[in-house]
Amino acid sequence: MHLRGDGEGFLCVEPSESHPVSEGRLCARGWAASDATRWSERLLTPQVREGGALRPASWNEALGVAVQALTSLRREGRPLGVLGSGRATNESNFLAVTLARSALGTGHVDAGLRDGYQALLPPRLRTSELASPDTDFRRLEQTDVVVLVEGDVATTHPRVAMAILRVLRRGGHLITLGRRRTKLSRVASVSLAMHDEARRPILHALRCTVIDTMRGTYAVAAGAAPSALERAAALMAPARRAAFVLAPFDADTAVLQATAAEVTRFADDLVASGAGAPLMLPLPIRANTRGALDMGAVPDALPGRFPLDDAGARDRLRTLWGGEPCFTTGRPAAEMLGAVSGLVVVADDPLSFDAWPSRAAAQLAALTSLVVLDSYATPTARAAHVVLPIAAFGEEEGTLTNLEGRVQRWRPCVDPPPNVRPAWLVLSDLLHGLGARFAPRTLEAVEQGIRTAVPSIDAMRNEAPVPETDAPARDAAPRWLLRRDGMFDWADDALVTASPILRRDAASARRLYPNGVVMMNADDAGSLGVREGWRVRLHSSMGEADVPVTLRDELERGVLMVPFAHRDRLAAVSGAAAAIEVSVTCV
Amino acid sequence: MERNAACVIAKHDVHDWLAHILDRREIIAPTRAANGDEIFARITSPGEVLWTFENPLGPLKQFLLPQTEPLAHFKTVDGHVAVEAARIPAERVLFNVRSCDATGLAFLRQMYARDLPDDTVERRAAALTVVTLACTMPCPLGFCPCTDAGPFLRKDYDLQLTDIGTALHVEVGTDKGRALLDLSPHLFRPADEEASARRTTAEQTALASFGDETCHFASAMRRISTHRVAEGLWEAMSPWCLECGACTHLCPTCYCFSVSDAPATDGCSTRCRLWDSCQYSAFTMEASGHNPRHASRERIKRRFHHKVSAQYFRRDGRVGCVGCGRCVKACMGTTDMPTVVAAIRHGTWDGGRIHA
Repeated sequence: MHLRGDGEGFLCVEPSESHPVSEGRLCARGWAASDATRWSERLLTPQVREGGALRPASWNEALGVAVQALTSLRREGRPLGVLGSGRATNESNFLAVTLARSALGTGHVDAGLRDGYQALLPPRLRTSELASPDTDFRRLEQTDVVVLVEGDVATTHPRVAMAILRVLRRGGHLITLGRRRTKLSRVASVSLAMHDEARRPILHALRCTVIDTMRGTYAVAAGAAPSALERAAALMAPARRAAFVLAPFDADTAVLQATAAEVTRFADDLVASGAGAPLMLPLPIRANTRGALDMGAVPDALPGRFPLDDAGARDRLRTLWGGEPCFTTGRPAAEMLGAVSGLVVVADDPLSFDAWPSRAAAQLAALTSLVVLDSYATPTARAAHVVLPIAAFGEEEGTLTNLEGRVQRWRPCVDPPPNVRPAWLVLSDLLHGLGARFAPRTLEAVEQGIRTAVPSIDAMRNEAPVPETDAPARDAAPRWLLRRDGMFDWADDALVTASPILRRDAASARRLYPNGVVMMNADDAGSLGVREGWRVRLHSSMGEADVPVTLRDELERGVLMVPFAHRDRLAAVSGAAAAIEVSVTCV
Repeated sequence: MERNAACVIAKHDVHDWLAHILDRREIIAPTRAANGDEIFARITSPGEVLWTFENPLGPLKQFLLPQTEPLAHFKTVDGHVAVEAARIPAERVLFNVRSCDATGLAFLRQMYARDLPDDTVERRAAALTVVTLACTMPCPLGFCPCTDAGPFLRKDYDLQLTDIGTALHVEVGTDKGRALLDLSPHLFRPADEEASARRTTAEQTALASFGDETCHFASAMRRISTHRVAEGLWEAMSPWCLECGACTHLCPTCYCFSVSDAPATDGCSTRCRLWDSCQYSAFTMEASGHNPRHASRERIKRRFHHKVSAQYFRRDGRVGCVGCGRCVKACMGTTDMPTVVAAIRHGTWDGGRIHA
């Protein structure tokens, strides 16, 4: 991507034809990248909280207040945490980890939405394999059959959708598993619901049908029309190479882990039955989630994804950081807000992805010290005790690691506003103020530090295995399942909220349903006698709520879907649960 | 020598000419970016200009209609709101522009001059001098002969350059173009018969190089304008559009915009015009929440009705396409102009499948 700016600021983006991944294409959010510096509410000066309100401060004062607060809390032995981000560069994430494990002596370090990506990694898919050509889009485009477990990949990951469309153009096949009718399910050879009528995962049934077909122990009954599973099996059985693309389709990481484990078993069975090893492509939500993970923004691993007890990794970090860093396991992001007294947030807004944002807001308000580094006045920044304004996209240099494992360098096209600094420099200032030995003053020095801690991508293969779990068994199908839709609302993505063009859709939807909404299958609504916009009463073991419904043909029956943006409105019924059984009555 | 007669300049003199222009004007030309991409950008020395290149993917229209265009600044002074027009760049020369892009710029000027003329666009256009480099070889994805936008131009340029071997043949389209020659009159000589013949041969060779490939706009226009396109066709192609907006953002003739006020900084707010896309779901959303083109199929249908129907051809004097091929290159799916036009003609959609 080329960024253009002039005296009026960052004005324009252009796709890069020679980029090996984008190949001259940009998604809608890419096209809107220049909007973020102009239409978002920028943080333009450091601020400190005084008398309950934020006021402007000098950099020296704001850094001093932050350092003093964090030092006091550490001295008192109270728990501290640091949140990195898939929105921040590798350099900033590495320094965020340095801040946590070296300067603050805590293992509570994570990156927002990291767990959703990591849960999708098949247990045996280690870093070295992720860096292999197997995750190259070109390899994906050469497969014969793609099995896509999705939410709506055409919207969330358009570059992946483009690769899948290329498979179809070449004459390949697509099998989708999902909870709604999407663009890709409409062009699929076979489109399957995520569960069968008894709410058993369909992926397991697909695996059994495919493998039994390949082994010749299963065949479609003579004269009978093949079922959808049988049609899918007929496509997969002769395929030379298949691919599994896994999107973060569910808000429950246990469900994602179970799916990844099932896909791994599927892959093993395919190989054992004589097929080529299938490609695996788990998809992150944030652009640099993989980079954050690789840089160590995770509570149970060190930079380079080394286990916490890896002697070599520990020695390298002792040499780089000095002293004895914290090598203990910390709390993941979802638990951190309620477990620490002081928190440093780097370029993220936990309220945008927390399962229960009103509870998270209360937890933020209860913190003794909240230090936020961000470019934008997010709800989290507004709740901070110290706000440190950092450069936005297009204003600072750094690297990101894309999901192919390519480390890409970004160069600035405009200067940041006068009183705004690059995130890595602000983190370095904090490290310096806290007395850390590793407080680099140049970007090159940060990158040298990363090279010391993570000697090579080949060495990054000791990822802690994700435990295998099976999907929770259900004895009988409940009448209704109230399910939260996904792990993140793309309308909360900075590139959408900052774009006057892209934010219209979500803004209108939120105005239409200020008190929440649930999506319901149109046939279900017919059987209940409910029409578009009518209200229903939902009752669960946690409580009840009245809420309007909007009808969707593409939803599976028996499921009520809560748009992620409205999850807090339904908290009285669902709490923070990703799915809960409810009864539904007309109001 | 007749003032606007064609002339020639030896290739070894072109750097001197460009240097003279650079002394007085900003030059935007195809050049090579740090990563090797060919892009339109401001050059600082004649040697940066590319002479053999595929047309850059980034659209030239950004220099007439920027993706984000500050229109006016508002500032409260002593209780009054002071309005200041945004700065328009000083005179610029767009150099080595391809014929399709020059046609696109003329299309946009025509669009913004109609009904209520847009002063900002007019001022930007007045500050631009367009020097085209005629295409002596077709670019891989271009189909400009089908849209009457190349490979050589009869109008819509200030100067048209043609590579005729050791020299460039120069045709003067306007006084603005003539003024560029007047910066270095000693470098130009009248085109003789041989030079003119070489220029004519270059055009014929270029046209012949396109072969029999054509986009068949006329056929598609007949079908659209006589309501012979089945609704199911738009439905079938809609999953193949990933709604990235690239087709509209890169199209030299797409002009739709939105206006938004950027949040104030230092008490100064800026009203901006932004590229918008008819392929985005909220493009036609009304204040009530009703959206007449909520479904993707409706938006695709509208786009191609606008681009290809006889109604707009009569109004604009041309189809809304200059055959540059950018949509073919940038579409994440397959709903680019040639593929959709072919589908309209055949009445079937196959997703742009590659047939052996």
